Amino acid sequence: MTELDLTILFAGVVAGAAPIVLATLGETVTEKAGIINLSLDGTILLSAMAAFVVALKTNNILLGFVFAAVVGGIVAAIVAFFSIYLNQSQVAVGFVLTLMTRDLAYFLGNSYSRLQGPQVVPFPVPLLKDIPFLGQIFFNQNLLVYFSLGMIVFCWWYMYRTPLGLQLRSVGENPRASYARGINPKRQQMMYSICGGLLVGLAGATFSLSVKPGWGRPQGAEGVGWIALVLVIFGGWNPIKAAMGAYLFSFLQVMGIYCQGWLPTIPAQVFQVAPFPLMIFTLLVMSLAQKESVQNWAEDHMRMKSILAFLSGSVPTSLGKPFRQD
Amino acid sequence: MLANYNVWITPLVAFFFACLNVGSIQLPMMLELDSSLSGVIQGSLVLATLALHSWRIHGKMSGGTPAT
Repeated sequence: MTELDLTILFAGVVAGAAPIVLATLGETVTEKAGIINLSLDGTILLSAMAAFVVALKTNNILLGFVFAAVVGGIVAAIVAFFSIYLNQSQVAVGFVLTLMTRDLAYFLGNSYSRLQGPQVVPFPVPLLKDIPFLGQIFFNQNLLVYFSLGMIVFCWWYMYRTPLGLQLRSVGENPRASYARGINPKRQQMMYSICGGLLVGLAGATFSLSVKPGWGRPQGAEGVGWIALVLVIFGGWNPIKAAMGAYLFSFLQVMGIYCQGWLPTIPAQVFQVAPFPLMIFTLLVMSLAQKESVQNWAEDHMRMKSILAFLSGSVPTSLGKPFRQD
Repeated sequence: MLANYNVWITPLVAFFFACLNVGSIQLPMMLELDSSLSGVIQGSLVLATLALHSWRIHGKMSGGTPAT
């Protein structure tokens, strides 16, 4: 039986969650501005492939990350351009791009499959890594993990504590009112879609250069884009709550690995797939929690009431509805 | 969308995409290309059609000569 070392378990959760956190934050920023970028799954694969190939060819990991971010930004810009300037359905364009970018990644990356390439090295933080328990979990990781943790705080601070964040939220809530206040909603939506795309691109690079180093078919990042989209809803469009969802998903994935050792009679595929339906189930529970009858019941249960209040979130009012300047 | 809501064009469009799907299986054998190329072509075609559709509507709304 596999022994459960909590330090290793949680360190694995934090490391494995880094790309999911980045993708979730990217989508949260995009959706806060009112644009649904459904192409995450394909974008992650394409940027993962691009990062690996560039890092392999140039032997420069940083260049791989830059290239992957640019790829993510370009795909997000296409979704935003079709929605904002061509008035096309964001869902339709995003879905087509998901399939197209996935196939493009497999097509272009075919000759680089199963090659050994560079990967991000651990970067323990001096002194902090020696803190009992927490030091090993949070400060004995690589730079990407620190970056993902920093981005959670930065995104929250930017959205809720800065005037620019207020503009971002206003464009997603009521672009007409923003326009009346002198803000250009189209430009803002385009800009934040690209910013979100950059983060999604970095998420892809984190997969192929750190979490699951290398490129192949399948790469191992398939399906994560859809989970990131679910996590945005799970987090109620709040970066901190969405990131917590990402850690929950990562925890389920790591527990799946442990469960393979504990329950050898159950096929390994069950544990690999289990986090996905579990996340859908969580979303279902959260959706039920929004129902009036459940809310009324929670009125008499203070603890449940506070949990429901924490989990509740509001959809940006103009999400998926492009701004029309009549 | 590709058939522009024209029922008579739909079988032709479906036939074209079926050709791409079936042809994708032959790609590795005949041309030594990855079968996922067909997905890239399909996606590009759909995006191009959406862009063209928008351009036509924009042309009509602005009073110019729309593309046919």
